[in-house]
Amino acid sequence: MSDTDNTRSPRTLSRTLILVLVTAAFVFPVYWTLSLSVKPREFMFSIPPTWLYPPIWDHFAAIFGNGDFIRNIVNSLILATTSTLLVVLVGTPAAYSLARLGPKRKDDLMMFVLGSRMAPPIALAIPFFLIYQKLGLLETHLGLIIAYMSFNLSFYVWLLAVFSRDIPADLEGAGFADGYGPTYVFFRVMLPLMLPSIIATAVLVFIFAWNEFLFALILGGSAAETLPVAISRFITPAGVQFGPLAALGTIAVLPVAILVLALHRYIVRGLSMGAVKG
Amino acid sequence: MATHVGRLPARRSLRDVLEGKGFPYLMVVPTILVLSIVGVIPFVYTVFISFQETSFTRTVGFNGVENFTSLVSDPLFWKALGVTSLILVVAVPVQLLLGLGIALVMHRGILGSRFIAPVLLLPAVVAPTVVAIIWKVMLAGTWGFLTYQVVDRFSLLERGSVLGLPRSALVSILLIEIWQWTPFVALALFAGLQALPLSPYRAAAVDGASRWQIFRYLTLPMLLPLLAVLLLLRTLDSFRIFDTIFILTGGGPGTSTQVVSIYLYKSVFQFWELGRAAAGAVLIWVMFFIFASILYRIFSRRLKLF
Amino acid sequence: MKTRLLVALLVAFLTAAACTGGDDTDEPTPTSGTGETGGTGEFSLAAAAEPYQGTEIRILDEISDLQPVFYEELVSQFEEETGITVNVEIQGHFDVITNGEADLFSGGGAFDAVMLHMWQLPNSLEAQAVQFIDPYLDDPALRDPSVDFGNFVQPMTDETTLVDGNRAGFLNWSYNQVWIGRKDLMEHPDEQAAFEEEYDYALAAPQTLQEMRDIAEFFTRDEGDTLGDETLSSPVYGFIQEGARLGATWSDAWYNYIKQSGGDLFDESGTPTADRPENVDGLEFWKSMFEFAPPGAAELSLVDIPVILGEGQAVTGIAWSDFFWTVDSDAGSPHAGNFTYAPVPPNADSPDSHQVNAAPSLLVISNASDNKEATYLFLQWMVSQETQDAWLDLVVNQGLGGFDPILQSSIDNPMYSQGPRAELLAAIAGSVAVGHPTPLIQGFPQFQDPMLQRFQEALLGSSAQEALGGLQEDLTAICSADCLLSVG
Repeated sequence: MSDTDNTRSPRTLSRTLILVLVTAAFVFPVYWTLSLSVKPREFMFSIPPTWLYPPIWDHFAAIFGNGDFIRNIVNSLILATTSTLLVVLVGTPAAYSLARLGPKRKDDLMMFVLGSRMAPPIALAIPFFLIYQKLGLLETHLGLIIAYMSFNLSFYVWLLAVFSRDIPADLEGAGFADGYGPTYVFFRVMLPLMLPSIIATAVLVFIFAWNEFLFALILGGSAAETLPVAISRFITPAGVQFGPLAALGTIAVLPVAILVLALHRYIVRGLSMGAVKG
Repeated sequence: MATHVGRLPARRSLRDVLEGKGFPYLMVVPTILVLSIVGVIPFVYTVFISFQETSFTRTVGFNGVENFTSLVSDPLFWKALGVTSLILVVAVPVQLLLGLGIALVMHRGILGSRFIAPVLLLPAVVAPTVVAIIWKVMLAGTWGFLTYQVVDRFSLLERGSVLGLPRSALVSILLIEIWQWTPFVALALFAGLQALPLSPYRAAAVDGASRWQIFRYLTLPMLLPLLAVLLLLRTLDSFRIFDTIFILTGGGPGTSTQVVSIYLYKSVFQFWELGRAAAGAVLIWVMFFIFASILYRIFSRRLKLF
Repeated sequence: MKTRLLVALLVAFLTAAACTGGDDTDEPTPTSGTGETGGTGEFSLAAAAEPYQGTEIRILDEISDLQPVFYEELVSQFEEETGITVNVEIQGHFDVITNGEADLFSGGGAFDAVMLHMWQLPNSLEAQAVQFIDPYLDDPALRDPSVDFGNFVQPMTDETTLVDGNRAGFLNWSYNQVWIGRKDLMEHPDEQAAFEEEYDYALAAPQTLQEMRDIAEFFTRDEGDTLGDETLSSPVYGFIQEGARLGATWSDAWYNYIKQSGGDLFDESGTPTADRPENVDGLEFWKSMFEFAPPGAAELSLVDIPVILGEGQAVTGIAWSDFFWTVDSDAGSPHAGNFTYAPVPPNADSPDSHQVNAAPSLLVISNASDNKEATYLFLQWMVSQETQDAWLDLVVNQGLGGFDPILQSSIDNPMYSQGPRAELLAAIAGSVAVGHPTPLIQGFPQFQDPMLQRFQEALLGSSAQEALGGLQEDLTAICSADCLLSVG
């Protein structure tokens, strides 16, 4: 059962076929909807559905020609990038500490970290909304960046700690034996070794921030409107036009898709909170 | 005059701290600080509001447990819990079972798993907002792809459309959850299977064990911790569902797909019943900490991760 | 001694009177915010705005075809004349409600003026979020006497903006519904002949709800049937209106059908009366229209309807008129130029109850605004004759954007019945004349949910009787008497 059969036996080929069909079935809805972004209007609502048609770029042009949508894309970029950078800066030392140095009460800390990751966003969004109102942080980039820290920081610390435990401790040991202090060991020895994990985890954090909806909806208003919120609010003076909407959705999905295709193993590990081994 | 030979009290410089016993704590402090500010403070504030009488967004005075009693006597609260539990009880096990099935097939041996795997991961990482749009398009009343190919072809509905009828809307939500996360579960379990040690299997082969016996007594027990983690993660996540349902049905038709998150959202932003919503949030939070501690125990003891 | 004292007092009194009485300007002070305006004085916007130069105000409004040309073309004139900068934020129907209330109720003050649907008013009043405009109407430094409440479309204006004799704001957009049909199909000779043969009267814009239903039935065709000149490859539907999912469905059923059948959900004293026999008739009628609607209608909201009609999936329908300025244009629909419009017709069985679902809205000044006077000047400018005429001109003569009349003088203006969009404008005028806002009900959002739920039940299987019986229970559970606040 564990001997994975990689030969081209008929059994393997048929299994492969099954998987290909299964995969196609799962991914088809994504393809179909995003393909509306290049579908001419006369085919869009046709019954039966049209499969082949000459693609048009008008819908994308409508999106890129609209300053509001550009603003949404920029907002999403700024928020995702900045919050990810902050999370990396604040969280990396903590992850190292929890993975290696075993401070006392480590269990409590890890529980605390895990708990804040797991809390349902709406439970946090309500007090955030009220507090932000008083502080004037509604509709600001800063406000959303802070709010994103609530789930992204804990996730990052947790996951990076899990990844870091995989790194063999010999090199650090050697560093200590040579008389270097912990700071040096951290910066010169561990950090370079952690770098791949840092990047992979940061990518996941970026994806979460990029896809985030609830906080952006409640706290972002219009000045800090992100892509997911703009998609949800997509109404033109002529009603809901699915072509431009699909184009907007494609823009939202494309960066994530590229990152995922490149780093899929890390992402599976990440989404399972590190339960899955490399 | 006696000369004391002794040590001068050490001057604690930053260097000393960085090089000394305080180092682990120093590294953790920024994170703790941030999480306290963005996690603990809002939580405490919510607890505070849950015991207050509220008028729109202002608190008016101490209310005792009236918000809590008002909450548990609201039939909509229980309805929301019911809908959420339904998703939990139906969608999560199906994800795990289907995912396991796919993972087993993959593990048995396929070609090109390197290419299939990333594509399979797509549904899980597409923004929930876009997931809502995708299914709005697939299930649209007259021109939706699935509406035409499946619903109308097999005359599954007598009247109305998929998202316009309470029962079919609920079924749709379940199917969407399953659709979005089964591939991820499959990939996670696949990775787990691939990481299993080989020797027990060799021994079993020598002993002439059947495929089913190998699965039942070898694979399954070894996979159990991972399955447990996935079960808990998916369970916790189904409580957090908001985006997709909010955009796709808004909790409707009526309140048939109104999950807890949407119920709380509407309590605040439609009905402006802050006290009650805060009470709801507190209850959810408490439930979560319980779940999270169970989850942690599995991580640290069974998976030996911490 | 006494005389001198008296004289001194008299002089003092007269001096005081002279100082506080009349003004330097020639305008007489209006006696009340709700009454007519007096006066022939010259009002200068620039002069009134002078103390507020350099202020920035922020407005939240709902998207429709009305705003773009107005805010883009005309507002800059206001800004130039006053030195006040106006930032407008336009959001969709559901968001403007959520975000507007969030800002108003929390005292956030992010917006100086927020668009409110009438049914949102009670909550806003309870939250003390609204700055009534009476102080400004009474202030001669701010009031433009040419803005005259007698000239606004009535009774819609007073029903919308007067609460207990106080003015909550100006009527800003008289959102209304019209009946829409495909002109090319209605005027097709074969269709006309077939219709007359079947129904015994000429095919034309419906004069009654019953005619509307006949036309809907007539145009519901299957795959393979003919429609106009073509043979259909997929079914076509005769009618579309908003289904049961959020949006304004509750008001469609209530106003266009239940009230037009002589019924109502509340009586004059504010007691719920959902299960009246007239209501049952009305709801049955509403429900019957969906037999001619596409299968997805039960989940379509007001923003989906224009697309259905625009794409030709339905031949006729009832929709909010403001969408059709764009839909009925080359960018908006392949059938542009082929739409015909009429006011929503009355019920032949109850012709005295002609009502059309209107959602007049107002831009209210937020109580948390720091720039109330400047905001008032802007809102007053928006509804002034000059501005409304300029706007009408842009729409009729230059084909830009859209228009909803709020002044009777706009409707009476000869420009109104000219130009390529005269038919739509005429239908709008017809609807506005019999349009009423929702009654002012405390805690109204709580009533909406049961309404939507029960109406949908009726749509999906229950009888109207059962649904309304259930609704009566739901409404009474929320409020059993005196549910309406006083308007006017």
